[in-house]
Amino acid sequence: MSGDAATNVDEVKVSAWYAVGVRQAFSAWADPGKLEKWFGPKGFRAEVLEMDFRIGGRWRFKMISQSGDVSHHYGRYLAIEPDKLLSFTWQSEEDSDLTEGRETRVSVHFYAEAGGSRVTLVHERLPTQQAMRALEFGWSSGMPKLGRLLEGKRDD
Amino acid sequence: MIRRTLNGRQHHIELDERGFQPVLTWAEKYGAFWGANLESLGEFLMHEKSDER
Repeated sequence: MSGDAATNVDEVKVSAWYAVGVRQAFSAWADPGKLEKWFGPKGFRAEVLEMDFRIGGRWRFKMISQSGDVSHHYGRYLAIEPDKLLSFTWQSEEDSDLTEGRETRVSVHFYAEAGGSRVTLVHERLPTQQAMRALEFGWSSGMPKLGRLLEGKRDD
Repeated sequence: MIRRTLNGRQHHIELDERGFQPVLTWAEKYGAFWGANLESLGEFLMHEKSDER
């Protein structure tokens, strides 16, 4: 595997290349039996509690660390294009305070590349609402003043 | 996260980065999480491929 990652404030993007075809790579996400064999970082195992693999269908996983810590993640499938795209909402029960109950979105793209497949995953709509609100306030309150200043007008 | 102070006609707008920390922590956490997941997927796919032989 070869991979890279990029992290912005509002999204996470990771990408990796595998020496297998896109059908095999996609199947690892679509088949719950396969998913349980790999999903989760090293030292974790995943249990598929629910997986209704169709658009609008719900999924729910349980992740268990080696030390026994448990986390739950759930969502619903938004787009399923075999061997091309898988998109689903993602909410973490243990992170609900950060996401403020919002659904984040994960899109997994599968591309044939250099005799293998590239998998690119984007996790969007991260909990930036609070940050964005603050920035919007900051800029919206500051920009009109700057505009007036540049136009040679005074506030008073 | 935004601190605004007035000094006569001057408006000082200051960004308090501590307010962004939970967001950055979340992004870092999930960046590492998905990166590690794609590594696990790679190992699984290689095992699966070798089992097919």
